[in-house]
Amino acid sequence: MNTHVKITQGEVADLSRRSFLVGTAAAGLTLGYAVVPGLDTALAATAPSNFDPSVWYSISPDGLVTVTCGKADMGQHIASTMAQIICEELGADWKNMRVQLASNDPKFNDPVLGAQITGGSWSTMMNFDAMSRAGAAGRIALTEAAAGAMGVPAGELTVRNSVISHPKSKKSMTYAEIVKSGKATKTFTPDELKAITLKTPDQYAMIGVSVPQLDIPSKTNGTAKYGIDVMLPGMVFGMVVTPPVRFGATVKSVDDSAAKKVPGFIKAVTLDDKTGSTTGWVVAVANTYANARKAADALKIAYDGGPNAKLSSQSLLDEAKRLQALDDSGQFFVKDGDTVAAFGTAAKVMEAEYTTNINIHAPMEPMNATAELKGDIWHIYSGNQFATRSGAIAAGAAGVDPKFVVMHQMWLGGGFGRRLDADMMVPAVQAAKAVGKPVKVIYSRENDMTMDYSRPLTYQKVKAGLDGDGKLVALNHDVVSAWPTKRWGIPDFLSPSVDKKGPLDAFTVNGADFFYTVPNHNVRAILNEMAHNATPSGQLRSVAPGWTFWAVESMVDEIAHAAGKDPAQYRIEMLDGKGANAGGAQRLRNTLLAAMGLAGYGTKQLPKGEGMGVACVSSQERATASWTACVAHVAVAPSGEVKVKKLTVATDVGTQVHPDNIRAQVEGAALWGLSLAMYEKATLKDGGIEQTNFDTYTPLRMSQTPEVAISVIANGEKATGVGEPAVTVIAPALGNAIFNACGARIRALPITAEAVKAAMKA
Amino acid sequence: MRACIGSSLGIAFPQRTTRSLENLFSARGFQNRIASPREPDHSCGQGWHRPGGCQLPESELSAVSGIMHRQGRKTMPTLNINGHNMSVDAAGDSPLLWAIREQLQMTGTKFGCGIGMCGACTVHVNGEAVRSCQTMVGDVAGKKITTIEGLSAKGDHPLQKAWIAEQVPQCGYCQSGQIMQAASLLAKNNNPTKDEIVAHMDGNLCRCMTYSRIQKAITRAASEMRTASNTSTERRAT
Repeated sequence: MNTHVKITQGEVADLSRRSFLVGTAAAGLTLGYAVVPGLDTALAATAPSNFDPSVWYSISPDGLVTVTCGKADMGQHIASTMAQIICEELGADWKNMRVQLASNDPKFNDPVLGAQITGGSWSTMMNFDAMSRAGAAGRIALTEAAAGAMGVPAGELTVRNSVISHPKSKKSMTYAEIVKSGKATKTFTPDELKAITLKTPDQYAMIGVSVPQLDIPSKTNGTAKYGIDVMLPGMVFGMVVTPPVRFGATVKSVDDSAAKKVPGFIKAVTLDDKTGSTTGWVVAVANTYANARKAADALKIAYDGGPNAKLSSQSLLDEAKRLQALDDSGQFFVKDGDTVAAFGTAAKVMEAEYTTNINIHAPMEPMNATAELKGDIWHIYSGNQFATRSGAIAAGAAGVDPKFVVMHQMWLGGGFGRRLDADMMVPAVQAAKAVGKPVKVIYSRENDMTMDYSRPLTYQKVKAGLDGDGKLVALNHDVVSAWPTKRWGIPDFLSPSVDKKGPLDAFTVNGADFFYTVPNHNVRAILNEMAHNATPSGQLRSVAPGWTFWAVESMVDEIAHAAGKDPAQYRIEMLDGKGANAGGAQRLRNTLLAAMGLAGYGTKQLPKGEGMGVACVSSQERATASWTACVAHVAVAPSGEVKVKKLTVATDVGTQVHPDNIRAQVEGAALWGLSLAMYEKATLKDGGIEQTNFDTYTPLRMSQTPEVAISVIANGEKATGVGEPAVTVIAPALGNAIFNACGARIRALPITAEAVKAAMKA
Repeated sequence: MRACIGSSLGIAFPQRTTRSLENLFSARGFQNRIASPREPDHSCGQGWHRPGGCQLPESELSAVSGIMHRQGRKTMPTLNINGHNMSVDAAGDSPLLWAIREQLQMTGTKFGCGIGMCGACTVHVNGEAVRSCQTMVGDVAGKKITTIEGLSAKGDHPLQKAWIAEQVPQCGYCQSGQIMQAASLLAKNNNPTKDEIVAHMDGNLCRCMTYSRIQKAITRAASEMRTASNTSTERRAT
């Protein structure tokens, strides 16, 4: 989370005051602790009831602990991680832990963010304390109840594996027995919760252990339920027909005469989307999805292509270059020292342009949502990363107050930021409204790709000034892109600019505020309005650091070579930890050294055509950084063909909750980085995304997967995120390795053999 | 800390020791750890409901299927799926994938791309791995179809056990297809080389990039299958 974003703990974040948010959100951020729900009921009930020490979990009379996860689980096993953090303090037996996914009830809002949003590699770091306290509160309440029942002082009791024992008298009670007795009565005020002394790392029995992930068995036998698997009585199916232009087209007419001949066809619904996300879309509704697809194919729709119908990737890039060249474009994200003066006295000035193409999320589960109106309440079933906003958008599509929308969270068949968006709610709700039945809308892969909220095309210009000793003394860094977060329309997710020219989207420049000591340093965030309108962009796994570090870490390498220094050593010298960089810079330096050591960087002569390159990053944001470094080892053929021999990644995550999961996430993230760097490219032509399926948009496959060596550093600092940072370090490490292998400097992603060959000649 | 770890879980359990993982996974009660969504909704009058899944009681599920049967089509193709003959109300030229998912309510087989480029929809037809999005209902009538739900009686095919032991799935969406694809390899070759595994699995995309764990799990399952087959051979011999 950027430092500028308000994330005040203990009070409702400004976010929840937005009019489109759920109506009762303001009451949500009590952490569920002001009263302890369930206790009164437990006492009053005749039959044994559950014990609900907090909103986050419930213990049933059979001793099973069911944790409700307010985070979207898209494969990062966050539900299991939340259960693990609770289990640590609760003292429960891991075998008794269960997980379920929260609805959009504000009581399940993130305790720090004040909303239900999953992203930024934030979940573990922002929920660790709340889950720990929730777990501890339950343990204390159960212990006191056991003490009363046994007639012994609570201080003499020990807790292990859901059993409370009194060693002196050899008495013991299980959690199940205590819950059954209904005697767990202690309640906690927020202050009392805050006052609980949590375990110290040396006391951990669960944190740091690779316990079996609770969701994995259901993902090996077909029983895990994703949004696409939702089945409701009486439901029908919707297939969307999207215009040939990514955004801005409108429907002129719909001819459904041929569709009416498709068996089971019910209706063609033209969307009326006040949020503007699905303008120009039509839904073909039929009794089965196969029939809906046939009907969709049979619809004859005439479009007005709108203002973006002639645009291409080249137009967006040309516009970006035009904007960058203007002195008054954009706003300053960083403005340290005086770069103009420093360039005036620099011994050497270097300039370079770095670009990235459009990238598509393409999670394996295509976008989908199921909507059903029951009484006054709209029930929406979908795997979604931003229930707070998506519920409000569903409400907008239905024309009701958001408090009449219940979001039923499902397992996400991949998220990667795509499911932060809510476009799929609109066709589901409006089709359900139009036909008076529950409707499940499933995007075809073609819909999913061409209507993605993509990683934007980016253009960056970097200008560096070196003094006579080759030290970097001035850096101007301009970042031109669509602004994904601005599109959300939530002011609190934007950040004030340093030059007070209004808010900027820090999620386009994060990472450019690196931990190197550079006395004169400017970063400008420039909105490419044309790209913003033509290719509405989204948060794609790792977001801004996925492109800012491509520029920074490539440029630092170029500078080091120009100064005649080893690029790794050059970085280490700039990571001196002076001023505001204290602490972080040293951690990043240590991580880089760890990666170098693990890779054997510089220890041996590599064969001709091979090279190692380094990069190190403080992704995701300066305030929430994990410290990550990579040594990439490549072999480059004379044809320009690049073979990635090995990626060595070191990452400092402070505290490991689940070491095996961290490795899985870091490896997945590193390979995402490789896929983006070498295999994934989308292009805009005539206003539409040209790639429509996995035949032309080609993520990494097994045969392209190199060895990935991982070193995880856990030094006792607070737990940081691991889902994204390793994405961002790969492309620059590869580019730098290619340069070391063959002298070709690549400045555009994805890296192609043609570009490498051309750069070799240059 | 290591000592505490072991005592907490009741067994020795250093970080990521697969043998220990196996012990844990085989422990009773470790399957299906997702809370069952049996719990009824407790509406509190504001539209907020207690969390729960979407799974419906059997009676309501059949009501969904009922929708499909009101089309009044004369001929209903019969499919042999997981050892059962089931009639589906689907046109012969419609994809097997949707008949399995919607009409038979077996949702373990997933839709990914619709053009046979991702493998999420992989099932077996007469033991061969096929893409069910590219296989038409009319072409498989009378043939033996196996889906992830029918790969093993209790989700304990050596590949499924290996998938858990290696903690392969992340989002899990592609994994039914990965397992079915791998199963068709091991049925013919229980000692595949790495290259053979890669060649056989390269058509199955995993967007979470769990490829290295998939390879490890296939190797592990193959090893278990060889051990089992050696044991049974020895038994026969004696």
